[in-house]
Amino acid sequence: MPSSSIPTEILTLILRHLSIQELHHCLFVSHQWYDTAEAQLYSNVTLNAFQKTYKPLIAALKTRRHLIRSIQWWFAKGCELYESDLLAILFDNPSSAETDTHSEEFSQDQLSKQHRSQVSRRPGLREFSFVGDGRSEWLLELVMSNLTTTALTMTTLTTLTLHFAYGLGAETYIVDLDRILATFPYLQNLSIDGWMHDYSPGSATDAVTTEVETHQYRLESLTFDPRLMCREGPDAFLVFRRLGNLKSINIKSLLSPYDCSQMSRPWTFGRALKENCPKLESVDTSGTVALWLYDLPVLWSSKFPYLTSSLGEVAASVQQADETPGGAAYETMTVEHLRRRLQEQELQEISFRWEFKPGS
Amino acid sequence: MTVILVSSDNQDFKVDKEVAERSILIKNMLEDVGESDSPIPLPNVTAAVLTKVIEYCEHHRNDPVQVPEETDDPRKRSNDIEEWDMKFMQVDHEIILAANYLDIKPLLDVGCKTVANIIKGKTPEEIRKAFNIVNDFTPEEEAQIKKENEWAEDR
Repeated sequence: MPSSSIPTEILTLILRHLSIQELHHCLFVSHQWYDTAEAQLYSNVTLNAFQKTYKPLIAALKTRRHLIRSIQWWFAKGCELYESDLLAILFDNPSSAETDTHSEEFSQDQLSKQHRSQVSRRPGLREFSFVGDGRSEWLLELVMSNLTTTALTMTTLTTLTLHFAYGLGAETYIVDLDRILATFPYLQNLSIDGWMHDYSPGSATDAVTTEVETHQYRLESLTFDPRLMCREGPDAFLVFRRLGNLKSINIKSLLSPYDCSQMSRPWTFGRALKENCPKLESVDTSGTVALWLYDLPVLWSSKFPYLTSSLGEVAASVQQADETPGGAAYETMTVEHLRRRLQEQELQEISFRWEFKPGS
Repeated sequence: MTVILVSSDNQDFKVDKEVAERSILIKNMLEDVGESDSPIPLPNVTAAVLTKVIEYCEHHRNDPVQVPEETDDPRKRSNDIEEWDMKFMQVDHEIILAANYLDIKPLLDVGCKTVANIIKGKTPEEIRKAFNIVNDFTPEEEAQIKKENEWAEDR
């Protein structure tokens, strides 16, 4: 088959099935193959400073920003080093621009021309995965504040993942869910999990605006730590009023549930879900998610096949814990305990609400 | 119910409507036209290729209509081709172009995977040979590509 008979459109579909090494071979075939393979090679990149390919890859990406669609970036100790890389690749960095920006003689025309070329070279980022630890929080801040000013990214980004991979640092990153959602209104998938993070209290500004008719976020899938249910303040779950498109939630825990179950407000959380998220189809859990979550009456519904099926597992494990004292993590938790605990929980949450809103 | 498809070299093909509708292009055409006996011209497909495409659609007439999955892994495997499909694809790459034009996603998918399998494990020179491509790079350009994309070499 002569090469002219493979349109670029089809070649793109073919090259999607190849590995990085195979794509590398395709680069050398011809000009047409080079362009197609290059676009594929740089559309989905994983950056990890511990790999020896990191530096050459960064260098290659600096001139190919516009090809990037998805980035998974691993940050670790000493991540200060990455700041310039991050700025050079994700954002329009005036200091790295080819034109001499120090010149005072810049005509308006030149300026807008430069601006246009920068805009066209920006990555049309659809997915951004951040893997790091609490100590890299300033870096996340940097990403957040810069992405906020990059209107293009705000509209193209549909998947944001923040994974805190390391539990060694003493610091905790405070995740501001409301702000993330407000910054990226087009997000469809948001995942925040791992070690060393906590959630900020609910945003009071949201409480004001939700009195009026508010627009709904596009978010369809949300992954979070059970500590989200420990969110403080009367407005802790008001953000769910804008999550009417939510289809699935995934509760992922790396810590012992007892670390936070004392302040947890599953009832309030469950009601917020039931009232505001009619499209919710599945509730998934992984890790040590507190038992009471599974026994929460407000969540019981045919809409939660997974939850109901895991209830069977939970009942079995509770029974097992009864039979083998000391053998399981929930040794003191019988079903009876669980019921009593839930009643206490609801009373506690109701009184909690009274403290905040007397007379309501 | 049958429909008549006309190839680019003016041959008529009488095909079950159900089979023809494996092509989303034809399906949409039939829906737009409504009840009609008029033949459907396919100016981009030769009789030889159309024969093969119809053979594919006959073989797969009872398959569930595939739901397009956009969440797919960009480097998804290409080794999940059915045996019948694999033999079928050995014939002609023009089928891929026809599948693209007629919008028959499963056939396009099998076609692309088949070509991807041909590329796998080959050096650039071997790829050029397999696809009858002329190397249009200068040695300088080649050196430049090698230098810039070095990171991907041993991954």
